[in-house]
Amino acid sequence: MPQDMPPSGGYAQVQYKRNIPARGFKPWQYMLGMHAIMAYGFYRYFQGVREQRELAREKMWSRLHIMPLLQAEEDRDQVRRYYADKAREKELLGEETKVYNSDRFIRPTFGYLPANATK
Amino acid sequence: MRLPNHLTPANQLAAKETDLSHPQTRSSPKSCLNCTPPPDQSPLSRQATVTMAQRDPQFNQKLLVDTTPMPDHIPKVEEIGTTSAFLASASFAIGARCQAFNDDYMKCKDEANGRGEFDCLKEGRKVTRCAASVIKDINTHCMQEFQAHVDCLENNNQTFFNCRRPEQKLNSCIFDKLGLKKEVPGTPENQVPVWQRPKQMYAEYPGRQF
Repeated sequence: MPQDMPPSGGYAQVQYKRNIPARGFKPWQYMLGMHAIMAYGFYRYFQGVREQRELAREKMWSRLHIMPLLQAEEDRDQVRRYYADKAREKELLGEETKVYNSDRFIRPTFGYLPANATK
Repeated sequence: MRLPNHLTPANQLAAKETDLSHPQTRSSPKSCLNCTPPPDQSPLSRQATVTMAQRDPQFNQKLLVDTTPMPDHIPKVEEIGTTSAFLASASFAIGARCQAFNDDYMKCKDEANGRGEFDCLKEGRKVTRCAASVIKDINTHCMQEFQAHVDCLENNNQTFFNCRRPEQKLNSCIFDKLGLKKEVPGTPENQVPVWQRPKQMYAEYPGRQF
């Protein structure tokens, strides 16, 4: 019995390689793009941080410039109430008592409540 | 639980009605510092007979402010009386003109050892007079710009960065007429100050502001 032999001219080429076209960009290009986007984002972020810092500085100094004015008004009001309390105390008790053993100004814990609405 | 006879709701209602029908038995509206309240209205007796849940609510929705004027030995000064947006708008002009008075006052307070309220009244009056003079000058020379900037601040939650256009006009007017320049200490030298940049990153309107 004759042996089974390859066909004349040999077997045809067997295609064992995958032949799929590479889609999209090269990987390093994606990497580069990602870094570019990130770099732009950080650039904008730090720009924003710097601007925020300047805005905060501006806001703070705006407040600092009018703070003595507001404080002076408040202090005058406190002193006015202090003397009013003193006068009332003198009228009711006949003498001025010293509540605290201190010369400092101490904001009163309890305020005087007028009997009638004043405003 | 049984209530005592005099505390049943019907009796309470009757008691209330009699109270209302005789208003003169209630405490008099005038000042009661020296007088004692009538016995049936005294807080202690009420507490003894009525439990907390049955107590009449006592609301006080009136504004009670001690309006006693300042004693005569302290010189008078007219308070500034402006609202917050006007002060915020004029703050850098106030700072430019009144820096010395402000520093003087704060230094006085710092060194007064807790008595600054009494001892620094003179410096405080100077501070208020100086700020009032600035407001007056702005009102006489730059009223339109001032009002425009204040309106913008009021409409934008008092944020400066939303109001650069009116602020620019106000600043130039104040500088031309009053000679007061807006400066923020500590601003880096090598960049445009933030209030002079046409583009504001955080403004609601994203384009050029002026």
